Formats: sequence, C-alpha cells, structure tokens
Amino acid sequence: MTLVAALVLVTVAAPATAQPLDPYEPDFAPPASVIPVDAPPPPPVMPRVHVMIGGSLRFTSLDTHDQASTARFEEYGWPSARSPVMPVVGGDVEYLLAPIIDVGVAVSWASADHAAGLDWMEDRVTTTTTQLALVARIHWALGRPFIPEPRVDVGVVRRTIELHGVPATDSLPYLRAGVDWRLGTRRGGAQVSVGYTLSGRASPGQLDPAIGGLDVGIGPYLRF
Amino acid sequence: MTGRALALARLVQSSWTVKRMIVVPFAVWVSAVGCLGYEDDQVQFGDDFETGAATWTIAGDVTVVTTNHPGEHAARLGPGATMAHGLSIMRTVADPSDQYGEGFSDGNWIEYTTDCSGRPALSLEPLTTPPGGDRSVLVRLRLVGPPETDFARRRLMFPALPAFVAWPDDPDDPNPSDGAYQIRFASLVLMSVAPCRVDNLRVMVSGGTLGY
Repeated sequence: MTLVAALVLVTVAAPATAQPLDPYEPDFAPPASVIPVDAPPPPPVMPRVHVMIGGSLRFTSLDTHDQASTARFEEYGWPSARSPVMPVVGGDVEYLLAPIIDVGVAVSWASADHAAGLDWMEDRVTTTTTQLALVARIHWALGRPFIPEPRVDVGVVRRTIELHGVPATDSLPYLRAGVDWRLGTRRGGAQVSVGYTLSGRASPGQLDPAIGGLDVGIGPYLRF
Repeated sequence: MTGRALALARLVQSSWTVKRMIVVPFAVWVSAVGCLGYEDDQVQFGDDFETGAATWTIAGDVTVVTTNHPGEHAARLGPGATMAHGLSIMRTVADPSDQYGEGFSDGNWIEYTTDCSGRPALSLEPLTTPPGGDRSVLVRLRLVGPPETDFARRRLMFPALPAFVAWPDDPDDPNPSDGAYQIRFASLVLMSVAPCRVDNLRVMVSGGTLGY
C-alpha cells in the first residue's frame, strides 16, 4: 500500500519536475523558483495641479521687431538705444488631468531700459510688461520628468513705457511657443523653460519698444 | 543595472545641457548686447522742449505739443513761424596758412528730430551791421515740409564760414591779430514753410579723436 501511494505521488509530481531544460538558459542561471519577482508596481497617482514660480531672461534683441524698435528711438534723437535683456519674474498654474494637454494660466512681469538720453544715467525710457496668458502644454510624458513638453501661451501683455517721468500704457496680444522641461520627480523639482515670444505692434508714429524674443528661465515646480 | 546606468547617463547629459542652456545665452548676452552709454560728441546747445519754449523768441504760430508719447514734447511751427534763441558758441579759427594749425572753417553740425520731409537749409548770416564787426554769426535753419507720419533724425553740417567773416590778414579787419582768432555763433533761428514739429534740437561738435 505504501508502495502504491509512492508511485501515485511520483506520477502526479513528475510533470512538474521533468520539464525539459531551456537550451538557451545558461548553466549558471538559478532555477526559476528562486528568481525574485517584483511585485507589480502600484498604479501611479496622477497629480492634478502643476504650480511653478520662477525667473527668466528674455533676449529682446532676438525679437523680430528689434531693429525697427531701436531705429525708432534713434530716429527720434535718443543718443543710445538698444533692445535689452529683460529680467522676468513669473509663474503658472496648470490643470493636469485634461485630455492631451495641460491647461492653465501664466502671469509674468518684466522691466528694462530701452533708451537713454544725454543724461544717460537719469533720462531713460523704461519699459515694464505685465503678461497674462492661457497655457496649453502637451503632456505626452504622462507626468514623467526629464521629457520636454511643448507649450503654447496666448495672452495679452500690458506694456507701460515711462519717459521723462510720464508713463503711458497700451495692451498688445502676444503668442509664446516653447518647451518646458521638468528636472526632478513627478511631484516636484526644477523646471527649465525655453520659448519665443511674438507680440503685437503699436500704431505708426508711436514708440514701440521690442518686448518679445527668446527667453530662458528656471524655477521650482510642485505638483499635487 | 543597465537601466540605472542609462538613467545616470541621461541625468549627466541633461545637467550638461542645462549648463549649456544657461551659460551660452549669458555669454551671448555679454558679448552681443551692449549697455546704454553716452556718445562722446559734445552738445554745445540743446533743447528737448520738455519745459516749453519760453526761452525762445517766437514770431507766428508756435506751440509745444506731444508727439509719440505723452511724455515727449516738441515745438510745432506753423507755416511762416519763426523762433530764435541765443547761442554762445565760440570757435577758434587758426591761420589757414599754418599747415599744423587747426584752421578749420567748419566742424559744427545741427541735428534735430522732425516729421517734415523735404530738403532743409542751414545758413550762416551776419548778426551785426556792418557784417563781421564783432565776428558774430547767426545760424538759420529753414524747414520745408510737408509733414509726415513718422519722425526722422536730420543732421546738417554747418556751411563754411562765409566771406563776411574777416580773416586775420585781411587789411580791412578792424581787429587784426597775428594768429588764431575767435568767432561766435550768437543766435539760432528756426523758420518753417509748412507745419513742422521739431524736437531734440542740438548744435554739436565732434568729440573724441576727431574733437578739437
């Protein structure tokens, strides 16, 4: 009886132990029963909101309007005119769960001198911009960092030109196309942004300093 | 293991890329974008009309108006209007026969911003009677027009000193001298044929290496 039971056990257990070896499996490979198997990763928790505050430099000398802007100052008699590098402070907030794109708003502020008079330390034309835009960013990275994400801003820039102590303000549409690049984790880190801004033009006969161009920025971001 | 190495390599690559993205634009900015500075030409007379035109002697329709910005003002001359301002620009004129001297008879220029096209005229005229009595010269700028939308900068060289300025070796010179002598640009007169706006008016002389 004991022998019969042993034969039954061998017969039942035989298929499990008598499988042919994989001819391509190296001899030193451990048996499959001891290879550690990772547990399936938990589904990623997708943040809903992206917040970023940072600074950037905008090279207005690369604006398509650069030469016309400088020439208009010089033609009016300003001894020194240029399209400056404008330091920019800004931030943006985006909702991340919309299909295909992140949608949000961006706000930024910048200021620089575009021309100087004979009293070149005091008599300056200072241009200040406040920009408000709707943002659309393709989230093909699905939340993963280190993958550049194309982005488009469409908005309005409120431009204040102060000259001889008198400010004058106008509003222009603008379009910015660029790339956001998150260096960090899914939750936070530093974001590098590169973009190019095209802005509207003032009417003929008015001062029209260049406020667009290439900008490069960096700042911390947080996703929650 | 391979995945970690790739991730590390990607991180290093990205950090170098970030450095380049920061350093290269900064270098371009430093090398290509200059600072606002000043020119070395000397302004011997200037008026930007920001405080009005009260220092001018006006005849006809002359008003101060804003131009391309609420803070920018210019003088507007109606047709036939004239405005005059005193000058005190002394010019030393050397003996023209001295090859090492500075016997230039010109060197000043006038520059201004205007919306008037056409060909302006700049002339030097005797200020006193008889002409050249004290070697004072009147500078007259005649604007033509018609006015246009945009402003443009105009620069006109002073013409050569006219014949009414006596030279030192002139036997008729009432104030003879042996070498250099001085003349004086004593008055600037603007007149306009068409309605023209004028701003940032300056009488200049070269500075720097070409100055004297």
